This record gives sequence, structure tokens and C-alpha cells, in this order.
Amino acid sequence: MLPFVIHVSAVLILALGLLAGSADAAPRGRVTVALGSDTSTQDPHMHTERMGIIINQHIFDTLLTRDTKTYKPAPHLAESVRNLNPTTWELKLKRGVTFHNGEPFTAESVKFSIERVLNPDQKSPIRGNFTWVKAVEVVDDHTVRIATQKPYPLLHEILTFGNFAMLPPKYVKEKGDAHFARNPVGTGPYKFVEWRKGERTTLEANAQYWKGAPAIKTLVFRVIPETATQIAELLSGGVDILRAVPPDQIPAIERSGVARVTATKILRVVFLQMDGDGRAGPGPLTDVRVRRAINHAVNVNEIIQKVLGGKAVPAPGGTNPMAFGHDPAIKPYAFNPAQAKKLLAEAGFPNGLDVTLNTYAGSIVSVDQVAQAIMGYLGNVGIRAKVRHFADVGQYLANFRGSKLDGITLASWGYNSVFDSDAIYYVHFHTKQPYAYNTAAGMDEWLDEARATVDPKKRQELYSRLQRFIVDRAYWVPMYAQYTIEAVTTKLNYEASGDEIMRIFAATWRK
Amino acid sequence: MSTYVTRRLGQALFVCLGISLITFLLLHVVGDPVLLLLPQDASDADILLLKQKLGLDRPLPTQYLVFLAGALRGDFGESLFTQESVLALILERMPATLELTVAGMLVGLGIAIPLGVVSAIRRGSLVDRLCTVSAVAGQAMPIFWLGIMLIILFAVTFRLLPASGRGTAAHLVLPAITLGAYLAPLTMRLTRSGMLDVLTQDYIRTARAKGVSERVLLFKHALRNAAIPIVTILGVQFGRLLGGAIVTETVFAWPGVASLAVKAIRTYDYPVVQGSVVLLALIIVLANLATDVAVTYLDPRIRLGEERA
Repeated sequence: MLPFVIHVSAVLILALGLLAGSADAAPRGRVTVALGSDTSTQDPHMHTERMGIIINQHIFDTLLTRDTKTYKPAPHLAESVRNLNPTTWELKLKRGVTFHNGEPFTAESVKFSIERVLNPDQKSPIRGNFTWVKAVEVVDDHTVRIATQKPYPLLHEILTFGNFAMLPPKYVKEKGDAHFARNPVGTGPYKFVEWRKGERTTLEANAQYWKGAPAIKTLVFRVIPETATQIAELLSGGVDILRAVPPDQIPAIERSGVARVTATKILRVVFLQMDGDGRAGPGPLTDVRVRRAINHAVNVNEIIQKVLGGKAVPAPGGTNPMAFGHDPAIKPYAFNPAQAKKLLAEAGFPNGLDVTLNTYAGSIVSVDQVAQAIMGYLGNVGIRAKVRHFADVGQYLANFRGSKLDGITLASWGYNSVFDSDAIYYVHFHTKQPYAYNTAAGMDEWLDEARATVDPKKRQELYSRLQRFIVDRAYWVPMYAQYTIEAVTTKLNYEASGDEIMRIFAATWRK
Repeated sequence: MSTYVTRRLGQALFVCLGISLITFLLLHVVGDPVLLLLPQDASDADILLLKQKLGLDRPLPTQYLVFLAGALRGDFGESLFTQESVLALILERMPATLELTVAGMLVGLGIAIPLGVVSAIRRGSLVDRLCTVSAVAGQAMPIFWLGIMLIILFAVTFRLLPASGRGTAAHLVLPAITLGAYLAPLTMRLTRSGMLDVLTQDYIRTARAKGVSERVLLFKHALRNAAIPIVTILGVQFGRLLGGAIVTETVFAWPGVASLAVKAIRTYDYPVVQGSVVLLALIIVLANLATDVAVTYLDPRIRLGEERA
């Protein structure tokens, strides 16, 4: 087992120091960010909402952060994470960091934060992500050890979790959870100023931030539910940054001269899941030849170009190219309608067949157009797809888990922000998992082994084997990874991030 | 009079009860909040545990009675996401919604009544026709579209007013006009027809023959009598306005109860949806009750009729 060590080299420290020195001396100006909905609490441990995570990331810090170029976990409040033995990790913490109220950040803050999340009485919705923790031990003020129940390879991923922020123990204990939920105190680049619920959260730059003060002095997150209003505000100068821009609005924003679009690929992947096990009842999809025919019938690249305007990247093995475990050597089935028809005839369907195409509203960009395109491709080879659309995500998930999604499902998966193939494959291919409609004894073993080993090379091998198997058995039609599309005022240097966390603390003013 | 009010109060209570039952049933039939609260890979055991914690494993009638008993004590439960009191959440947002609704009503009446009176006096004239056409157009215009158009015109193109949000008086202008434009057409037509009806009455002719000035005749004798249907319909209109406020609040990012309810619907925070709907319904019922009582003062025939009965 290879020990996984994250080092901050002397060169990097020097480079960071130079960068901090070259930044603008004092934060200035005001930037307003439009969010589609408000956070329900300012307490990062007590929600799982994207908008809340975005605000939290400006007030708080996590133990590790995500490198915006490689998307790999990188040092943050924890300067290094070392594997002492397969179930014990030692974290060396950054010295000289203080919370906004003056309280020092120490190993006690880490122990308090982890134990707070794990305490069942706390009712933290992210508790499930931390049940692998067995114990937290304070070695000294700046060293902490985490013991895990069994070898846990995703530790680094989980320590970057936007929700898993470090909290000031004294402040939280003294003031109580209810006060903290409205008056957050962290170690982050911005200090909390005011929260007008349903309206706005106002933050002020932390001039003493341990990584150097941010460039923008006042940061306002405004709640604007309607996209058209968000865009109007952007064009009239009322807001400076917005997210979730519909692809058809890109030209209007680019033409305006006051704002530009920044887009990048994100973790969510889109795929066609087939009921290969016949979990919702016997059907033609239990025959691998039919599933291969469907793979040959759908032209994924054309969907990416024509429907999504090129704003997506192919994911031929089903997992996101940014996630650990993705194997670039995996090739998709070639688009070949003649081969599809031939396979269908061999399977006993020379005149085609009828099948359900389940779709749902919410996460898939331009879902209706994508579904129509798929119906067209299937129709060309004689597969008559009938759409069953779920307008309510809750209903969709209930049907998914309840073994009721017969036929093909236009599905997507967001990885719960974990950049690792375990996050998508385990739930979809491990026997008895709620979303598994395609299972095989061999896959269970590979998935379990990959989950219980911390050696990256071994894990990569297992996921490559799994991807080859999934493609060979044609359990899915793997399609593509989506993009996040954001718009920003031309006054700022700011780019969208692949983990969908808006890093406005890293934005700078254009000269 | 007191019998009348008591009877109306009884009816109001019955209406609220009906609304609470319908809201409760609809919310419990259409979806399951548990799956939205848990991570997508939650186990069946986690799901069951959360159902038990939220009391969702109990039979529907029991759940409804628990909700009702709480609501009668002013306890609408807690938000599934923030664990805050639903009543506190709603009351926090109520001033914004009432501010918008009252402003919308004032703008609506401010446009509708003068135009209605002018249309009636100048019946068949160009002004009357223009008013009628505008009223039809106004009624046909979706509130959402009008809101966006006003934003594009006054915030983006001319940069005269803020596009959205709440704060200064300037922030109230566009949402109030949008909501007012939603109310105005029907009220204008009612004013016009009411005035036309009254202006042909014998007592108006008598008053005119006695030499009463046109202004006194119009505003003291005619408009007061024409006001009865306008006030009667105002209660109903108030309900429509609150409905319109849902869209207006969303378009203008106005932080009121309606936008709270819309977010709660999206996230399936059913105690918040339930509480918002029942409390908004209560306001509408009370507004109707208030207008009914007001009409009895404006029109003694109603009051007397009741007392005779």
C-alpha cells in the first residue's frame, strides 16, 4: 500500500508568497452575485444545498481544497495528510490561522468539527458522509489523527467537501447552534456581515486572511429566482456574476459588451440506463444484443454538437473524465444503425420493438430536446420509444428505487461532488444497491475491493476492468459530462469551476 | 348585524378547514419529501428512519389531525430543512408581501377608478374606447411577461429603476405597477358599468334637475353608490392579488411569503407549503369578511335584510 502524502514544497510556498505580495494592496469595490435560491442556513454542517455551499466557501475553510486546474485535492487548512497505516491518517495543520472572532484554529477545532457532524443529536444531513470515521485524536495543537473504521480511499475527497468546514468550538458552544446558523464565524477570506433571509447575504473582505486578502471588498449574494430577471440585472449592472445561464442566452450576453460567458465541464454525467436485470419486469433489454443495438443506434456526438452546442464532453465509459478511475482507453460503440438493425434481428426483433423511455426534469440540460433526439435515433432502427416524463424529482427517484423504471431511462448523476468513480458505479452496479438495474457477481467484488483499498494504482485497474465490462455488456449508453455556464461582468477576472463552487474570493479586478 | 358577522365567521372557519384538508391531501399525494432530504445513495433503512422521525409512517388521517391540532394552536410545525418554526418563517416574510399587495392594490385602484369614471361619463368617446381596449389587453397580458417587459424597458434600456429586489421606494415601483396592472382591468370595467347604471337612475336626474353641481353629483351621489360592487369585489380581488404576488415576487426577487412558498414547493418542504397556503387562505378569507362587513355599512339594504330575516 502506497502512503498518500500531500506536500507543500518550499517552491510552492515561495511562489504563493510572491503571488500574495503582487496582489492589490487592499480589497476594493463591491460585487453582487445572483443565486437562484437562498441558503436555508449559514451553518455549513446543517444543509446540503449548492447555494449554501457557495456562500459557506467564502466564510469558512475546509481541511483540503480542490485544485482548480487538476481537480485533485490540495492542501488548505491541513498542510499535509499522511497515511500512518491503512486505517490511520495524520493531518498537519496550518499554523497562525485565526477565526474571524480571534479564536485560534487548532487541532481542537478539527476534532470539534468532525465530532459535531458525527453527533447523532446534531442531526447533520452530511453525517452519512462521515460514518467511516472511528475516532479523532489531538496529538498536539497542530497535529490531528483520524482513525477510520476500515481502509478508506476517499478521505481526501471528503475533506474537500464544501459543507465540511472548520468551525470555532468556543464560539459555537457559547452562542449555540441557532445563533451560529444566523451569525457564522469562520477562518475564510470573507467575514459575515448580514443575512436578510430570502433576499441577500453580505460579506466583507477579511484583510488578515491567511492566504492573502481577496481583491473584492464587499461581496453580496442576492437571491433572484427568475433567470430572465438575473440576466436583466446583469445587463443593467445590478449584478456582476450569475450561474446556470441557459445555452440560448449565451449570444445575448456575449453581444451586450458589459458581460461575458464562462463555461466549464462539471461532474454531472448523462447516460441511458437500461433495465438489463429485468428488475422492473421481463423485457427485451435483458438480451445483451438488444442493448448493444441501442448503443449502436444513438449518435452521442451529434447530440453534443447539435443539441448542446458543443457544451458537453463525451464520457464513453460512463464515468466523468475528471473523476478518479476514468479510463481514457475505453472506446464507445460506433454509431452504426445498420449494425443495430442486424443485432435486433438476431435477437428476434426483425420488426423492431416497443420500449419505455423514462425522463425527468431538473438536472439534465435541454432534457426535452435530448430525449427527442434519442427517440429519433431509436426510431431509425425500429425501436419505438414511448416517453414517460417525471416532472417531480422525488417521484422519479421513488420509481427508480422502487424497481419501476422499465425500459430505458435518460438518467444523470452528480457524484455528490466526489471526484471518484466509486461515487457513480457503486450505487448503479452493486447488487441490492437502490439504483442498480444491471448487476453481476464479478462487478460486486471489484467495487468492494476498490472501495476498501487506498492504493490508487490498484483502484485504477479495478475501475478500468469495470468500465470495459460495462461497455462490453452494454448496460448503459454512456453519453456525456455536462457544463456549468456562468456569466460575469467584463470588469472582473473570474472563471467558472468544474466543481460548481463559485470562487469569487479568487476573482480580481481588470485594470 | 352581529348574527351576520357570526355566521360569516363560521363560514370562514369552514373554508379554512377545507383548504387545509385539500392542501394536506395534495401535498401527501404528489411526492415524497424523504427522498429529497436524503443523499441519492441513502439506504432503505435510512429512508425508513427519517420517515419515522418526521411522522410520515403514520396513517394519513392521523397525520392530518396532528397537523390540525398544531395549526389551531398556531403551531404549523418546523421547516424540514432549517428546523425553524414555519409560523416564524412566514411572519418574517409577511410584511414584504403585504407591502407589495397593498401597493399593487393602490396602483390598481388609482388607475382603474378614475379611468372607469371618465369612461362612463364619456361613454362611446375615443377615451372610452381606448380604456376598454386597454382593459381587454391588460386582462390578456400574463403578469410574468409584463413584469419582464417593464424590467427590460425601465431597468435595462433606460436604467431609471432597479430591476429587482426590495429596499428603497424605487424598488417598489415596477412590482407595484405589474401587480396593479393585473388588478386594474376588472375594477375599471366594474367602475364603468356601475357608474353607467347609477347615472341613469331617477335620483341622479332629480338631483341634476335640482341644480346639484356635476362634481358633487358624480362623486357624492353616483360614485358612492357605484362603489358597492367595487368594494364587494375587492375582497375577491385581494385573493387574486395574492395569487399575482406569487408570480410578481418571483419575477422581481421580492422576498415575500409567496417566494418562500415557491421555494418550499421546489424543495418539497411540505410544512412550509402547508403553513403558507393555510395562512394566505386565512388572510383572503378575512379580507372577504372585512369587505362583506364594509358593504353592509355602505349598503344598509343588506344589513336590514339580514335583521328582518
